[in-house]
Amino acid sequence: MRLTIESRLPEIARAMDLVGELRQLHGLPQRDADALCIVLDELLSNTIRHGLGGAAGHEISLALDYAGGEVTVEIEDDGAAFDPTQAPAPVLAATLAERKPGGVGIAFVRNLTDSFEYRREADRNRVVLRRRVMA
Amino acid sequence: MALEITQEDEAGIAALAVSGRIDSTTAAKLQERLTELVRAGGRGLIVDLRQVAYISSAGFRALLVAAQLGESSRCSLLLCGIAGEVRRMFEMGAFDQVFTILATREECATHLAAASTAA
Repeated sequence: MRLTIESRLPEIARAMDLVGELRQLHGLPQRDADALCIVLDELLSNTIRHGLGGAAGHEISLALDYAGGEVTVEIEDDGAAFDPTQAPAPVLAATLAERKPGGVGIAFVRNLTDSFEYRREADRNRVVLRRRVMA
Repeated sequence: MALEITQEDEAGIAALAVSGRIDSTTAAKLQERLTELVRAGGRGLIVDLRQVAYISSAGFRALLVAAQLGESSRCSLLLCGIAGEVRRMFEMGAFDQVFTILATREECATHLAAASTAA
């Protein structure tokens, strides 16, 4: 399944709808679909806000596939080179006053996937994620 | 399902029941509502997440901003109804250590009443 979205935050809802279609098509558990939605939300919002600097008018390509007990997600954009797999682990202060709001998104992606790879190809960022899912 | 927020006050304390998904497309709406109620100046705000399908980091940011604003203005933000995969996300981000989390709205109201009696 393929989808191209514009580089605007409301467009992320279309990616969630695509996850819903994949779930229905293959009878995947809701908890796995929810995990994939979180992963897509973290990566797409990062790309839109930071990779593309909040600029509209860019396209982000998505591909979702389920085969061999595994969902594969591919995300491509033409923003500045950025490897999210190298993002440092967040410092998680244990008091409310000291806790910073950012930094956990990529940690969520790592936790909710079984593999998380990045390549820079032809001036494009390409992220490939896999999550084992039993239908 | 998109995000829905309904106000269902508990024992005279502002309480919000949140349902649907809390992510980067919906978190601004939640943050706006939370901030508005914290600024209204009550002694506490209860947020019931029992009907939430999932929460991403954008949702945690909204809760954190409101809780920190509440801490500086003496309006405690209490969370309840956190179970299953939503609880797992709280633990994954170590948010269970920074928020006050109780089982039900009633327990949150009791907690706030006891805190205001002690103060």
